[in-house]
Amino acid sequence: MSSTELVQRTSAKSRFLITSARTAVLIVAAAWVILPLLFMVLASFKSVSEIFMDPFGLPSSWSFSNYKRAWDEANLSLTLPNTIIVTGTAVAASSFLSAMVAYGLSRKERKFSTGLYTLFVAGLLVPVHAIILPLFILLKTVGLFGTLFALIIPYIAMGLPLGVLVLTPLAASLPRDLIHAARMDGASEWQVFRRVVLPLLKPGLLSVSILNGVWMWNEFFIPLIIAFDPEVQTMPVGIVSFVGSYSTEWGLVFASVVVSTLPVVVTYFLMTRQFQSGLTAGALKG
Amino acid sequence: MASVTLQGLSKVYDGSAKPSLDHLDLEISDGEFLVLVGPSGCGKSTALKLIGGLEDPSGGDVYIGEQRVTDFESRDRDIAMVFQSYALYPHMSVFDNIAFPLQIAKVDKAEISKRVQAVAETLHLSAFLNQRPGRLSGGQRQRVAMGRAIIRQPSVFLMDEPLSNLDAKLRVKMRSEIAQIQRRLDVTTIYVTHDQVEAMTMGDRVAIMREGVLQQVATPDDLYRKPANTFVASFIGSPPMNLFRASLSGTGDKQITLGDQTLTIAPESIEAYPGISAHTGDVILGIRPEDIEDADLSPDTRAGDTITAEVAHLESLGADHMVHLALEAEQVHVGDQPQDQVETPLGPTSGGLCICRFSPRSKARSGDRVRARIATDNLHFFDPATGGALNQ
Amino acid sequence: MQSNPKNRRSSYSHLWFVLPGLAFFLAVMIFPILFAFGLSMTDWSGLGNDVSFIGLANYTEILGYWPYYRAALHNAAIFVAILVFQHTVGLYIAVLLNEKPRFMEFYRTVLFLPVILSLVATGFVWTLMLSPNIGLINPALRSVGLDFLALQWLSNPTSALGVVIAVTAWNSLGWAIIIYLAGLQNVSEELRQAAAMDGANTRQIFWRVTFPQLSPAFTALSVLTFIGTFRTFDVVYVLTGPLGAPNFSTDVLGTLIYRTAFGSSSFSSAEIRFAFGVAMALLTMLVMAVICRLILKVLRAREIET
Repeated sequence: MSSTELVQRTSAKSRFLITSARTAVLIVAAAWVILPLLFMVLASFKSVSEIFMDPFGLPSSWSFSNYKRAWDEANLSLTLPNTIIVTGTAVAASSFLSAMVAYGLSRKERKFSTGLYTLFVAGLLVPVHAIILPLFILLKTVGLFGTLFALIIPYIAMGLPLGVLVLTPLAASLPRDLIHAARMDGASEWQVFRRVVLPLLKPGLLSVSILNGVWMWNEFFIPLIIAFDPEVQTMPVGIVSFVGSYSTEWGLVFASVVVSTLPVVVTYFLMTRQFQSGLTAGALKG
Repeated sequence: MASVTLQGLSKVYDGSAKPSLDHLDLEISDGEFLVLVGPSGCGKSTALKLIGGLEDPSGGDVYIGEQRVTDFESRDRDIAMVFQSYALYPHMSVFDNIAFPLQIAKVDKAEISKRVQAVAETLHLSAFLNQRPGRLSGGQRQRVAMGRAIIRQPSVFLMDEPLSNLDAKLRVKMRSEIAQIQRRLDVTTIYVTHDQVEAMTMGDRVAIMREGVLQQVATPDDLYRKPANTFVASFIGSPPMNLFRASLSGTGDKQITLGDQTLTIAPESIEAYPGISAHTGDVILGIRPEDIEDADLSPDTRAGDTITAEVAHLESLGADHMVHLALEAEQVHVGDQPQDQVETPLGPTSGGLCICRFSPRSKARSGDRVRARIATDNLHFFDPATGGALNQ
Repeated sequence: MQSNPKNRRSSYSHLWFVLPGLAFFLAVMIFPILFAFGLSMTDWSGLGNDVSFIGLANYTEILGYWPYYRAALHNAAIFVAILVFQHTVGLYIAVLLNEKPRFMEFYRTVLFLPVILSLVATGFVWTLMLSPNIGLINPALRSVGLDFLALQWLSNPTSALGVVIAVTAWNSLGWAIIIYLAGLQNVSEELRQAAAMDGANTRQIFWRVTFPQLSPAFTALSVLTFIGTFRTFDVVYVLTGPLGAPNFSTDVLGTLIYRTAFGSSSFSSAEIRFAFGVAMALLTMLVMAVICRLILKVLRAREIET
C-alpha cells in the first residue's frame, strides 16, 4: 500500500470536503465567466424598458427585432461582411506568406537568415500607435485609403512576425531528405514548397491562422484610425461608433455585440482543441 | 540509360579542414551496379549527394553520359534517388507518392494511373495504393521508395543505404529484390552502404572509400582476392583477414617469420607473388580465416605450412568453428573496421589473435595447443609503411 | 565544356521566398517606424504643413510630463494586479483542472472563452453589468444587504481603475489557465511519485517538485501579461472613454498616446500634438523592450537553477 493510498483511506470524509470545495471554486469561476455572457445574450432580445424592469429574467418574447434593427442601423449589414472579408483574406495571405518566409529562412546556414528572422520577430514589439499615422499617410498616397485593402494590407504584415516565429522552427525541422527527394523527383523550388513543405506545415499554419484570425477579427485600434467610414469598417469599431449615438439602446448594442462575437465563438466550440493548443503554442513562443 | 563519370570530385564542408571527399575519379558504365562502401564518414554519402546535385562540389565534375551536369539542378539531371529514410511524403497516399515525379512532369492522368498500377504490381503494393505511408511496414515503405524511383525510368538510380532501416531478414530479401529489379531495368545504379555483405552480393563492382579517399574499385571477387591495401583487406570479409607483422627472408624459397614461427612458401607457389620476389625484411602478412585449417584434418601437411598455437577462444557457428589462436606476433589493426565485424576478445598482450575458420570436425577446444595448416599459396603481403599490397 | 548550364540554384534562391513577405513587412512595419522616428523629432501637430525639426525636445519633454507618469503608473498597477491574479487564481484553477475533475472539458472550454472575445465586447458586457441601476452587480449587492457597496462603479475615481483591472482579469484568466495547464501536463509524474515515496505530502510535492517545473509557464505568462497590460487600450476606451475618465483616474499609456496624437472629442484640435504622441509611443516601446529583456533574463536564470 502506497503512502498516498493510506492518506486517502484515513481521510475519506475530509477528502469529500476538499473535493466539494474544489468543485465550488470551479463552479464560481465558470459562473463568473458565463453569467455576464448569458446576461448579454438575454438582453439582446429585450426592449430597453424590459432590461430595466427585469434584467435577469428571460425575455417576455424571443423577439429578433433588436437584431433586425442592428443589422440596418448599426450597419452590421456592411461591417459583418467587411470583417469576414478582411479577416479571411488577411489570415490566408499572412499565413501563406509566413510559410514562404519560414521556408526561405529555414536553411539557417544561409547568409542573412538569422538576421532576417530576428527582424521579423522584432515586429512583435512594434507599437501600433507609433506606426499608425505614417501608415495612414502611406495608404492614402498609394490610393488604398477608403478600401478594405487599407485594413487587409497592414493586417497581412502585422500577422507575419507571429507566423515567422512559429513556422520557421517547424520548417527547419522538416526532414531534409523530403525536400531533396522532391527536388530529385523533378520539382522546382516553388513546387517543392507548394506540394511538400506547405502541406507539412499544416499544424503550424492552423495555430498561426487561429491566433492571427482572432486578433484581426477583434482588432479595434487600427480600424478606429484607418476606417471611419461604415463602408469599410469592421464590427468592433462599427459597434462603438454606433453606441455613441444610441447609448441607451442596450438591447440594440448587445444584439450587435452578439453578432460580432458569434462567428468566433461558434468556430471556437467546433474546434476547441485546436484553438487552445494553437493559441497556447503561439503565446508560448511569443 | 547513361554512364556516370566523376572527375576529381571534391567536397570540403565549411568549417572543416579535411575534405569529406578528396578528388574522386570514377567511371560507372551504362547499366552497371556500382556499390560505394566504407565506414561512416568515409565520404560515400557525400559523393552520392554531389552526383545527385543536392550539394555543390568544391571541385571536380560530374558527367552523365556525355553531358557535364555539375551545374545542373537535381531535377535536370534525370536521376532518381532512394533515401535511407525513404523520404516518403507523409501527407500523400502511396499512389501519389509513386506518381509524384510524373505529376510534376505533367504526364497525362490516365498514363500516370497505368504506370503506377504497373509499378505497384511489380512491387506488390497494389493493395496499399490508397493508404498513407505512415501506416505501412518498413519493407513496404522501402518498396514505395523504390516505386517512386523506378516510375520515371531515369537514366541513373542513386540509393543511399536503402536497407539500413530494415530488420536483418527483410534486408536479405530486399537485397535480392533490388538487385533483380536493377538487372531487369538495366539502369546505371550507384548504391551506398556501410555493409560489406550488401556490397559484395549486389554490386557489379564495388568502390571502397575511407576518409574521403577512394581505396579500390573492383569486382567483388577481385576485391576479396586481391585487396589493394590493408584497409580493403580488413574491411571486406567477415571475419576479416588476419594481419600480422612478419618478416621475409630468402631469395629462392621465401621464409616468413611470424613471431616465433616460420612459414615457407613452396617453390611452386612463389610465382603467385611477383611483388615479393625481390623483397626481404618487414612486411604485413595477411591470412584469410578460411585459409587456415586444423592440421589434424589435413592429409598432406608440410613442415613449412603449419603453425602451433594455443586456442584462446572458440565460437561454434554450426557449419564452422571460429578458432581464435593466440599468436606471439604483433597484430596490425586498421582503423575504421566495419561495424558487423566479429568481436575479438582481449588476447595476450604481447601477441595477437588469429581467427581461423576450422571445420566442425576439428577436435580443437579452448586451451588446447593445436597445429594449424596455412594455405601458403593464398597469402597476402602488404608494405608495412604504406599498407599497400605487395603481391601485384 | 560549359554547355548551357541551366539556371543553377544560387545560395540566394531562398531569398525569393522571403521577398514577398519582406516587402509587406518593410512597407507596413519598418518604413512607418522609421518615418515615425523622424516625425518624433518635429513639432508637427498632425494637421497642416507647419513642421519644424526640434531634435529630441519631445523626448526631454516627456521626462517631465506628469500625465505620462500617471498613465504609466496606471499601467503598472494593472500589470501587478493581473500578474498576481494569474499566478494565484489562474494557477490554482489550472491545478484543479489538472486533477481531471468531472466536467473538466466543460470548465476548460468555458474558462478559456473570454480570451477569444474582443475587448470591445468584453467592455460592453461589463459596462452593463456594472451600470448603477440595472446590471448584475449592484442589485446583487443590495439583495444581500450590502447597499453601501453598490456604487457608481465607473464614475467613482477610486473604483474605476479597479473595474478596468477586473475586466482585464476576466478577459485574460483563460490564458493563465491554459498556459499553466500545458505546463502541468509536462511535469514528470515520476518525479512526483518519487517525492511521495520520499515522504513528501501533497503541499510539499506541489511547492518543491511541481511548481519549480512550471517555471517556463511562469516566465511565458509573466512576459505575456507585461506586454498585454502595457498595451491596454480597448478596455479603457470602451469602459471610461479616451479621456480615462473619471478625472484621468483610468488613463493609461494607450489612451494618453491616442488622445495626444489623434485627439478626442473633448479636446480641441489645437491640443493635438501628433509628434509628441509618437515620441511617447516610441519611448514606451523602447522601455518595454528593455524591461521585457530584463524580465526574461531574470526569470530564465531562475529556470536554469531549478
